Amino acid sequence: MLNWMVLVWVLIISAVSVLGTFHLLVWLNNRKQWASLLFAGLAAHIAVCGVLELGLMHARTLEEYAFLQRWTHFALVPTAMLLVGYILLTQPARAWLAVLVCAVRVLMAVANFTTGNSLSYLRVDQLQEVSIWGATFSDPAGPVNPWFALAIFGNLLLIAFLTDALLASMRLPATPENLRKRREARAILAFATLAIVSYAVTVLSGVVLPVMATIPFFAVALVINHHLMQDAIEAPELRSALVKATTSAELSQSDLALAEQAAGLGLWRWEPEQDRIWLSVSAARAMGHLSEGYFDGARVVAVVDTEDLQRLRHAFAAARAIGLSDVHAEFRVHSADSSTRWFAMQAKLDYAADGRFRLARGVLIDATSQRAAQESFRQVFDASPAAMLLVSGEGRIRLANPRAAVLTGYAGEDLIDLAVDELVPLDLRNAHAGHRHGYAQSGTARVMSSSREVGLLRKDGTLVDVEVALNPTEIDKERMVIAVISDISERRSREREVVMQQAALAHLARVGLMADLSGSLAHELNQPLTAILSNAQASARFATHEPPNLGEIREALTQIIESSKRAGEVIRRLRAMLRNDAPEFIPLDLSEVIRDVLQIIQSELLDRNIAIVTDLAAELPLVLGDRVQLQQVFMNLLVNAADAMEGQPSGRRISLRTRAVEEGVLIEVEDVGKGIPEADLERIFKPFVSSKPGGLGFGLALCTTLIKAHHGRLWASNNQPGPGSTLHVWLPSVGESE
Amino acid sequence: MRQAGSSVIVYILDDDDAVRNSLARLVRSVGMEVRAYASAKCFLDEIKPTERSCILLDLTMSELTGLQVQAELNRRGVEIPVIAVSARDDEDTRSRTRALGALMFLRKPVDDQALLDAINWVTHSSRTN
Repeated sequence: MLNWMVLVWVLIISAVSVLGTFHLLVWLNNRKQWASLLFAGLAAHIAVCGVLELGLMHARTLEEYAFLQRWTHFALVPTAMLLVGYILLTQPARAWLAVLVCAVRVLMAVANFTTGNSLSYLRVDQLQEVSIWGATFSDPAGPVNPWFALAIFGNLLLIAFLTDALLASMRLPATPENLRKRREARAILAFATLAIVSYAVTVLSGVVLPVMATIPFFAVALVINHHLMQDAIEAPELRSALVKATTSAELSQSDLALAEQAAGLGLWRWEPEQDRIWLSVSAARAMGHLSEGYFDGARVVAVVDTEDLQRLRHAFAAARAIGLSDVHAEFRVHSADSSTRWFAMQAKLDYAADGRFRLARGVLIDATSQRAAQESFRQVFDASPAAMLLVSGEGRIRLANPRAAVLTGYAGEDLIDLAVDELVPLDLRNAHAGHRHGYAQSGTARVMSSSREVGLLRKDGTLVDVEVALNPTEIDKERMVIAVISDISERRSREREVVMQQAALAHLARVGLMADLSGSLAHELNQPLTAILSNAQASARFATHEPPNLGEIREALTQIIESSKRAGEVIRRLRAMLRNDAPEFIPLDLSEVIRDVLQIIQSELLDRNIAIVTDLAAELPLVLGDRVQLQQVFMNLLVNAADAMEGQPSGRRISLRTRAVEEGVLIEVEDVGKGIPEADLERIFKPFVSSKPGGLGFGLALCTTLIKAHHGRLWASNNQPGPGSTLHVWLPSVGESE
Repeated sequence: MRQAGSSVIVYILDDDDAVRNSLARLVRSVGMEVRAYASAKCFLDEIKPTERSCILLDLTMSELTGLQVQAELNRRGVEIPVIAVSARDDEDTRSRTRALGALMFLRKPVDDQALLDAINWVTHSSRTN
């Protein structure tokens, strides 16, 4: 008979079956969704109960009713247990209470089959047809089973269990999820209580109602379903949020990787307790691994150079010992393809509140090219044939190359951190320190690369002549100075040798000149000798006169003495020219020097029919010079002037002039000879240039050297107008003329 | 020794004072008259041809060379025998002597006897001529 009651029950049974099936499918899709499985079971049992209740409603015989009653009670046991299971799974319920409830339910099931008809009625004595709003159902009458108390107890326990779960749920923090749980728990409690109470009432009191536990249980099912569906409803939202989050995480991951790569940075994290190291993509690749991730600590450091690893461990240990949180180190990594790269590592150490070292994190930078640059610098520095020192702003030597060690006599390592002042001779040390301070404070990058010649104090106390070039530089933001030191003692001795050789050459030239002028010299000697002889012979004759002419004799003797002196002078001058003494610079009157020269060379010139015109200034400023060398120069110039007029039939004349000019004295030797070709005006002063056949061409070159040694100048010009050329000599004057 | 008749005049032309004076002294010591000149100009101004005179001419004089003096004498038609005196004695000197038309050449330092002989010879020769 299809009445409203049957309709309602059928609808409920259908609905709950559908829900159950749905959730069974959910569970089949995802075996971990135990809640769905439990619900499916619960739904199934509710459906069964519903069917049984329908049966109870339409039972016509006592036996039929009793039978169905028994089985209805029994059906409620697993129903309750499934509910308990669900609550246990989804709510913060107490497990032991759940077990207790289930145990009691089992007891109830046992009692249901063993004590009387069912747990509620001992016997069903009669059956009544009752009608509510047109729907008829069977209502039983009979004595209540005393064991129903157990049912009541079991149900109270169930209520207690559900209440406890609710209370526990209310104690949880109020997250949306927990709030939902609370609502669920409340609802389940409410409907379960309703179910229990309504049944107890129908059994115990005289109220006539059909067994309708199904309805509140259906409500419970709906609540649970709603809760479970929440997840299903929210799933798409969660999924898109998850996708978004995942995408954005991936993006930041790839951004990070990009940033890492661009900066050449690798990130790492060391967890000492597990001795594992997390390496980012770049860091992992740097250490020879393919991808980022966690690696065993020992495996990571296996590629690090053993020496460097030692230092690294020390650095960390030292930092940990004093609670330092920053460590910086550099180390080499030897990769499988036997290449070596340098890495710089910066670490931050994290300590727990109790000071215990927790972990270290940091960055890794490939410093190979930097190191390579440093290495190149080092190689150049060490290989330099000149001694090089790198000196800090405070005057301490930071680096020294092998040549510097050899030059200074210190061992390489002793030079490091030595005060550079130690290498400066004692008497210059204060001044040197002053220079350094001045420079360090000047703050400007002045170029001070003028080389200076100083003495270097070696370790054994000896001095070495050196040339020092200083160049400022900046290394790691610190101002330093690179000193290049060259040993010039060899150069010095060679210079001295050159000076000696020049003196020897000048001497030889003088000897040669004297040889050339031997005729002139002979003549100079002959004159006094003639005078002496003639005076002596005249005296002898006068002595034989009667009486002897004493007057003449006296005069003769005077003349003899004078002539002897004159001869002696010539000898002296000759000897002076031929001597090879070191030059002696004294103040000289050049007019006087030239007069002396004329004395020697005069007769030579006369012999060659050369007239001499002199214009020698009376009060010439004094010139600092060596008499012999200057005489040599002038003699040379005069001989050259005479040679220039060789072959000229007449009119040979040399003009000789001295006069004071700006800051010095000018001497001019002018001839009227064949002149000097324009192109040769400078060339003639070079060695091996000679106008004479068979001439060596040293004369003027030597004169240039000698004049330069006097800080003077020597040059030639052709006479304008007229024939011939003039040799000019300028020498600097000193002090006032006398 | 004194010569009979007019005495010999010896002209000495040498710009070296000591040499000139010593030669003059030597000539005086043998009793001859001597006229000594340092410069050719003075000499040329004052020379007069006389019998029995000669000139002692120093070849290495500056100012006017001996050659020029001789040329001047020739120009004036002064005929006095010349004895050339020089410290040098080389081919160049001798050829110059010949060019001068000097009758004799004496090398310095001059030996007194050689000088006297030269003077005597030259003055006698001219007398004979």
